[in-house]
Amino acid sequence: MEQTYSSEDLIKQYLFGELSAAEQIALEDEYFIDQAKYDQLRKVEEELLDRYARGSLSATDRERFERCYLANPARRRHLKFARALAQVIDEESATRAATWSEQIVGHRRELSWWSQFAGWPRGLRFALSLAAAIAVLVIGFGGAWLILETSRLRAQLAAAQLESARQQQRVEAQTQQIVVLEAQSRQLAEESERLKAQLQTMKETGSSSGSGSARAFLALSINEFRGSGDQEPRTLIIPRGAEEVRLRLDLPEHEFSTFQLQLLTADGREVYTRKDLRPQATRAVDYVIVDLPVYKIASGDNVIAVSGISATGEVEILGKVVIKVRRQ
Amino acid sequence: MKETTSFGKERELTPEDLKRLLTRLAPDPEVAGGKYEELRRQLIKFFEWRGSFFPDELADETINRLAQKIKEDKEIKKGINALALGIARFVFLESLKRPDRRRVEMEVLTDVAAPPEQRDEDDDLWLACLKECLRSITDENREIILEYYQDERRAKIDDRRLLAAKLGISPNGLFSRARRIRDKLEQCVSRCVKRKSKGAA
Repeated sequence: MEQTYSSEDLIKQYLFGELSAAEQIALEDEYFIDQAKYDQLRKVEEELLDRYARGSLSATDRERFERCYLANPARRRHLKFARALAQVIDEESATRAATWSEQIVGHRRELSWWSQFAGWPRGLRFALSLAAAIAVLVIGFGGAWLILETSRLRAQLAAAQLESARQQQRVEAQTQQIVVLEAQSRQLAEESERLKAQLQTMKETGSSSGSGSARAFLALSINEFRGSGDQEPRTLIIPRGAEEVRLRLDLPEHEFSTFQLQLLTADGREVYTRKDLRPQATRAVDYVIVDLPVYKIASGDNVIAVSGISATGEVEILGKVVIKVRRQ
Repeated sequence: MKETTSFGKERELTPEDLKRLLTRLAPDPEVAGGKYEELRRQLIKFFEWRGSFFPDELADETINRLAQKIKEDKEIKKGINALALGIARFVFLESLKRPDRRRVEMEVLTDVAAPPEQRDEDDDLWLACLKECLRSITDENREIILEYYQDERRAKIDDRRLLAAKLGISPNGLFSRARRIRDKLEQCVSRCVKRKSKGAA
């Protein structure tokens, strides 16, 4: 069986001088280089010394120990030290055990408050017990009330926050409605002005059925030309015998001194143009009047284009409007 | 009890030799000092375990020769410990052959089968000196010695593990520390016993 040099038995044999010369040399080579191996040898030796000092070595080990250690003065000194150390440690352990016992007894005495309490007069004991019970009840009820009140207040806070959020939503919705209504109001106001102007024009110029100077009337606003083009085409009904269409163009806001109006076919071909149209001012709105010859206007879709002319002569197209024409 | 040896003052370690040796052990002087003490202790143990009656003297002789070797041969390929061991073996063999060995007092050559079962007066002196030396070490070191070397029937492995954990070191580290404290304590007690024995004499 192969021996491992680090085994406790091998170390014991070395310490007792029972190894062969080769085994001795091998183990010494090992523990002189490896600190852990050296510690192991020291540990085994210490345990042998301490066990012998306490009389707890086996019979075999005791005989081997005595043969090697007691014959050597240096080793005998180690044994004397081990014996003294064992005695000091045992004395210390006994002292500590006695001290712990005293402390435990002392603590038991201190902890026996119940027995102390039991020694007080009966009336005093009853009064103190009652006071303690009342205090516990008060604290209990007080705590419960606090918990309930806190829960109620939290619920109220949550409800108030929810209501606040709802009101905020309502305000936002109403604000949006106001914006929409304002826009509608502006459109209606413009439409009203246009219709009033048309009526005024009709009153000023008069109309007679069957006369040679019959006119059709059409009132437009410059805002219709500036639209995105999605609006429905306006309808113009030319009565029988009408020779002109009086077109009134309202200019609520304008930045040009003169305007130009073109009549185009549906495919964009120019049919008729009027230039140098200067707005006429009224209290309500500025406007221009253009009389279009009826024979220039085709039945069906016609396009009217308006342009502004700046003081330097530059022409800026302001927009187009489609007019559906029907003849009676 | 008289002990004599012929490894007396033939080759003493000069300060320069010692410094050279320490430098070879470690560059840091403090670390080198620790390694020197450990090496000397290891040599003493080697001679003890080989059965020498004069382990301290033989260890010192080994160190002297080691320092001389380092002085003469700067290109040493072996490690210091291995070199020391080789020298120690020579020193031990020489010690067996020396006629001085026969000059050991008869009292030392006790019958190996006679166990000192009875306590002698020396034991009380050792006890008193141990208590004195225990008072001279730190509280922590004293605690380690008293806790670690308790009666084995009481001190279980878990107790030593708890002690190691309390000190923040490994169980192996705890043994190394306990061993070093025990060695120093034993040296202190030996000196105290010697001093008091001389005083009594």
